[in-house]
Amino acid sequence: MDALTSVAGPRPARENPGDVERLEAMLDGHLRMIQYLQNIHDAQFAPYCKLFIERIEKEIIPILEEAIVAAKILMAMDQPLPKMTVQNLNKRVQEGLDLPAYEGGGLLDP
Amino acid sequence: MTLETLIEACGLLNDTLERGEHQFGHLCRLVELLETDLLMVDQAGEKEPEAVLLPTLELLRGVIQQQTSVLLEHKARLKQLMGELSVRPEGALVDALMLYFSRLFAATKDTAWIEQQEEPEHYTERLVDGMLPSQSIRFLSGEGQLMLGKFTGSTTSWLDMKARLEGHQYWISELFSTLPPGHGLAQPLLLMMQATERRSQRVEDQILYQRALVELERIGESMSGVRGSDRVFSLEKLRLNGLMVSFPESIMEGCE
Repeated sequence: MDALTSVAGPRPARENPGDVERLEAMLDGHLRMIQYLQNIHDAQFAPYCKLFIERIEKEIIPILEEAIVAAKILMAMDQPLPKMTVQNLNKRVQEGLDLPAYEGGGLLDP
Repeated sequence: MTLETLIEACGLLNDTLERGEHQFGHLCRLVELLETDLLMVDQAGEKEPEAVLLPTLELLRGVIQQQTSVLLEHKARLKQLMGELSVRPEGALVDALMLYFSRLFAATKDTAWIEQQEEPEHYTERLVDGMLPSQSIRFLSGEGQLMLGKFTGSTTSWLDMKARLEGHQYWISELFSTLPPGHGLAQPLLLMMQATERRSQRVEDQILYQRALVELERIGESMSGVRGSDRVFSLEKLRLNGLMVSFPESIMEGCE
């Protein structure tokens, strides 16, 4: 007669906490790169710097921020989440991890 | 067989048939409740019931009806036999009816003997049309009847429905385990078990979506102000909301 009782699900597996640190380090590197580029005032390089900054702000920072949030959600959950949600969050984390860590800005060339 | 022994055997058989009839009634009620719950889950998903569900229910009800009608025929003939025994115990009709009941008398006697043994589940009963195996009768008159009581409350949430479906899975599987291989009820019960499992999974998914939404709200509050959190949370909540279906409002019998 125990069949007519409540539901109890297994606890979810935790996401790798190292992901958050890695993603935050990547974000920090890109933010420092923006600062560095903002301090270049040479008329010859300034337009390119502005372009680089725009691309980092629009195409890299949001993805990294979302990846960090996704990794934190996966670490913070006390209840199992639907498979689809976990897949979406893992995908966001992976998209962040797949971005280039700042290594001189070569990959940011237009 | 002396007349007294025969009358005693008739009495034993009559009791067995009465119990059997009663338990077929319980089984019918359990099947009705099962049907209501399964159709409610289908209705919530705004889907047509699976093509296989209604024929399976018909098959199950058909087997119960067929077995019950045979049982009622046994009862009618037993009444006739007992009547004949009181007026013309040596008559030709008694011989004919005795022939008709030979398997039933033997099965009832066997079952009574098996039930007196220490481990009755280790013995195989004779399969006779219109008679439920004694283990099935024991289950239906005990736990099965208690299950009926559990199913009387109204269902207002997916959590309630999950508990009900677990209850249905329990009685189907327990009843199935009491049936010898090849019993007419075995196959439709197995099909109903599979149909119930599929609905149970759908109901579990709905409970998971509801809980996940609450969980995302909780984590979202603890991360408010974190850059990017609005975008992630709103999208995931939107996706979850798209998968959730509200629990159908139950329609009371007799009301529209």
